[in-house]
Amino acid sequence: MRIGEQLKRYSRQVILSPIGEEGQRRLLESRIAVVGLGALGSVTANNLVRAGVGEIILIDRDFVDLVNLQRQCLFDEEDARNKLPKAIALAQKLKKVNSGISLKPIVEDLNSSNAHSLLSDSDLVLDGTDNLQTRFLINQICVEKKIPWIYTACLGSSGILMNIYPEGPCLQCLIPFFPPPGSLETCETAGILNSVPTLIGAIQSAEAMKILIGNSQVMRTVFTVDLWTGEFTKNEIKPRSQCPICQKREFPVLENTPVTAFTTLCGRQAFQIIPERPMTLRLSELNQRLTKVGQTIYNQYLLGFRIDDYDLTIFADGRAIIKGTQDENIARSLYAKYIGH
Amino acid sequence: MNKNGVNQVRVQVGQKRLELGSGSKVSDLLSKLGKASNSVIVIRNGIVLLPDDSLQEGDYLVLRKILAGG
Repeated sequence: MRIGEQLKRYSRQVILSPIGEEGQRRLLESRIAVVGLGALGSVTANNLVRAGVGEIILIDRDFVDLVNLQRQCLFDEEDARNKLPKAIALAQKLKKVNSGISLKPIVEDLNSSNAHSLLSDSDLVLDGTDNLQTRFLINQICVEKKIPWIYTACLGSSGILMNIYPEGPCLQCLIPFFPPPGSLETCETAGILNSVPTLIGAIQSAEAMKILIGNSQVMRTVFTVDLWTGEFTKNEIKPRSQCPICQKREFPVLENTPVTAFTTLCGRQAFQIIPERPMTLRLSELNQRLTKVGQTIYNQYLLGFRIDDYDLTIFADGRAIIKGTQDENIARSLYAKYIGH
Repeated sequence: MNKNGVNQVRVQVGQKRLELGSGSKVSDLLSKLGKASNSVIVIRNGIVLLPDDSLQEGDYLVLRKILAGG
């Protein structure tokens, strides 16, 4: 499609003076990654697909579950019944919205073994994840590769947003050290008001457009909101002189080799297990084995397996989401028993 | 030492008034409040404070939870 025809499609934002034709061209030429496609990430991806960002990588490790539908606007009950990966479900819907841009769904967990390859060519990385481990990793990669990114998070009726440039302040200026395990509340324990991610995702997409077109009015503060009390704040933050990431430019985590990782998934009693080394599971064969001992649901992307009170969702890269226990050891045991190391 | 010659610094966190030793830092405040380090962000007059920042007499501080959901 010629650029003139493309610009016509976006006329309602081209006429907006801070964007204009030049801004729209820059959006069309931009490549971004959205990491995490739950409530936050799907709102942001939706807005930026419609705004005409030229190339969007959609990264998510999870599948659609009925409990997501309270707030994750682009998914539906059929997606949940089919246990469709969120990246696939979102890409399918958004391709119908805008066929003139490139959408690349990635059904993977973002970790230190793949983050460089997935993020390094991006002009901007957008955070829709549900845990701090992944955010610390994004922070390191983006500062190292000099890519701006936007930290967003939600819990209860509260939300937060911070635009992060490689020179800082960065996420580890705001949160210097990884909080102790169990010290942070999750969506499961504190709940989530569905309008919060809608609002934060909307602000994130507006900030993303400003960053991509090089607008000078990008927010350089930490934005917080509590939609129940109606309190909005913008707070100044300076780079922390001892920050190992944006000031000293040390990137310790990235030097580590990936290990079997356990992370809890926000919004449900679930663990994720990642194999120590890259692996490829033959899901069809595993399905044949597991149908003999429990209920399974199988598609080309994943294998769902129910045994006793546990639900295992197994992906072709060997990753598994184990639902129905709060005990890490039980999760490890189930993985070893039914998938093997 | 505060203006009354006492080796303490008085701060207010939301509706709660607290007294800490002179020279106390943000990390000392969090310990006194029983908050895990890095579980909250401490804000003074619209500026995010770091754990090593010193508290000042009469500070009015706002605490915001660190959020990780999405």
